[in-house]
Amino acid sequence: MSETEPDDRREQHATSLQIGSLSVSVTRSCVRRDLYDLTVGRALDAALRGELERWGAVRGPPNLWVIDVPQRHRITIAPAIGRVVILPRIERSRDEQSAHATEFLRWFEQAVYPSAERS
Amino acid sequence: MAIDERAIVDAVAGLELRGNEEGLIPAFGLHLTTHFANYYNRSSFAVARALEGSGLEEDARTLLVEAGHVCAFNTFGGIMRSAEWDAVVAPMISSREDWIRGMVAVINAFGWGRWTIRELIPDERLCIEIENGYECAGWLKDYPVSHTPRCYLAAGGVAGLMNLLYVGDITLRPTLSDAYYSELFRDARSFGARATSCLACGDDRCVLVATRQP
Repeated sequence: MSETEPDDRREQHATSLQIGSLSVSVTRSCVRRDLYDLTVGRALDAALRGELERWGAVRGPPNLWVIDVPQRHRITIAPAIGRVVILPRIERSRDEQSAHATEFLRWFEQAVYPSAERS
Repeated sequence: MAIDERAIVDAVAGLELRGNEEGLIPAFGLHLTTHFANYYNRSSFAVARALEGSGLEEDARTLLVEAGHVCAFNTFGGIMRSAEWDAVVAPMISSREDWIRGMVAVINAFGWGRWTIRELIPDERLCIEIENGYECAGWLKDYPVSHTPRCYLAAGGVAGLMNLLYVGDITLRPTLSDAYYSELFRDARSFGARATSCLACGDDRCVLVATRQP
């Protein structure tokens, strides 16, 4: 992806990204970064909070999980509705932002939809 | 369930909203900034004071309130579309007006002063009282008692709340585009806000009233 902005750069452009069973909305939120947003459509298991610790300390009350990963992004999760938002660091290139988000979302997809459930 | 402001403030406080290694605060799907309150105050007040006596005082006010409109649209609108909102505030919402009550609770977690809803008539009028608003507290620290209200950004914010909810419909999570901004803030039905009381003028607090503009 290029950092060059089109003339209508102030408009928000949403594209979609499919990662396994996850449909991720990718919004071009500003000149420097995108926003990754998905909802799995069901509540997340509370045990997932502990599994998320592999990505960094999970902060927030039981109804709001926040993981800040320095140099990468902040992941915010509303577990009751299964919504996940990834806000990349703006100093990373868009390609890096995408790679980091995709790495997490691949893991997340496996955690939320185990192989047995998908088959 | 009614809006539980204490729970909202506690949840937002627990997010540890402080600058990261980039000097930004990524939260609510936005990048918030942290800086001295007087940084913005002195910039905006310098504009207002430079134009005093020029006949352009009202233009200065319009410009600075417009900054508040833009802030409300992007910041309040972004917050109301965020995962944080879905997690903490949305489960408490039982009426359309609760969107404003919830947003005011979030504002109170930011430390911009103590906002209280004095009156909310759906689709008609919003009256917000602000104790220790940082704009006017900053004015009094740097300048004499003012002859005119100085809570410019807050005025834009109060009008913005009404425009997001009653001119547009933030409950539908619209894309916050330039076109949508114009739809909300340049419409014949758009709300504007005026201070009826102002800390900078020697009153004990600011009171801002948003109504449809004539």
